[in-house]
Amino acid sequence: MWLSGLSIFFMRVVDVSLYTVRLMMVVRGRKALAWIFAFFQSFVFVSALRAVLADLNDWAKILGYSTGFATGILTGMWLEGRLAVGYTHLRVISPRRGAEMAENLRSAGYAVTEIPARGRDGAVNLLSCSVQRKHASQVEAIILQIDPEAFVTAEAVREVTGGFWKSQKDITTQP
Amino acid sequence: MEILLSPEAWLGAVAIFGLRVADMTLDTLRVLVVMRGKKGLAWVLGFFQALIFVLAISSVLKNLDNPLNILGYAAGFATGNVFGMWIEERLAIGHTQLSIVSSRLGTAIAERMRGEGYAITEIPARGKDGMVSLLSCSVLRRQVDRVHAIVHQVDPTAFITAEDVRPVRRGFWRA
Repeated sequence: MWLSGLSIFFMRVVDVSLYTVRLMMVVRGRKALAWIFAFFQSFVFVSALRAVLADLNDWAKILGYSTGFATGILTGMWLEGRLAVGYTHLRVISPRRGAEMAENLRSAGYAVTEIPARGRDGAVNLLSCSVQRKHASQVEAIILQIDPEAFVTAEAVREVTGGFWKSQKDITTQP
Repeated sequence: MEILLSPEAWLGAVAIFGLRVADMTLDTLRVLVVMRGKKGLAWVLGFFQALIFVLAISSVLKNLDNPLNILGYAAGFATGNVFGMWIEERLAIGHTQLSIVSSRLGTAIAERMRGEGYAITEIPARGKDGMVSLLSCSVLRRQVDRVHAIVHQVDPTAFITAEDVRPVRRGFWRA
């Protein structure tokens, strides 16, 4: 008798959540933190697996193992959304209100580049705006407030070196 | 405690550590190969990765009384993960699209980059203080640092973002 189904459940929640955080560290190239998270993830995982395999006739353990995994996926997604590490590049197309939108975003402290472009019904404004991921929903709210019809796409931006983002940080820290 | 003094126990843990480093390294390479659509190589790497993983996990679960095995397993996973990151950075496979915004020196950057052999598309755009140049430049990932250096040499205030792009069929790529 190793551990009850409930403790196996919690171990799996922890190990799958650690997995999510580790992937974030891997994507950002943080080797030392990735090592630490990977170590604990693997340690907890193999302890949970060991407890399950110790008695395959105990259905409470198997159930705890699988529900823990499923719940860990959800807490991992939740954690990832809360931490919202990284940058997003937003592309906005607004047929008429592009200039006004750019002014509003700038007064909110974001850097915007306007590009004149042409759509089906004539000239449109293409706005290009790189923001920190945790600011993305605020920026989206500003955009949709000015033009609910605006077409917005978001792409993840891979940070290459800190220097690339310096001017962005200077702007977003201004009141 | 006598297990800590037993050479066999340490040897087993070190073997498990080595197996996990190998399996995580193969995992990294497999993901790279999968992204590039090489099915045959992906099969071979996946096969050996799974084989090594099963060997490692079964040796841990067979010797439940040796806690060193679990430590070796977890440390091997963590180390293999970081080693895989290192390999991935060294190989730097793929393409990156750089967007460069420069308020005054856009043309100078474009000329300089073309002189170095890169293809650049200049887009006139508007920023906070008037007209700016938006330069779009797709390069091989391993050239990103070099391009970064060139751009910042011409204009240290240039704002650069990098996005991973999928292989492109046409256009001009610097050899």
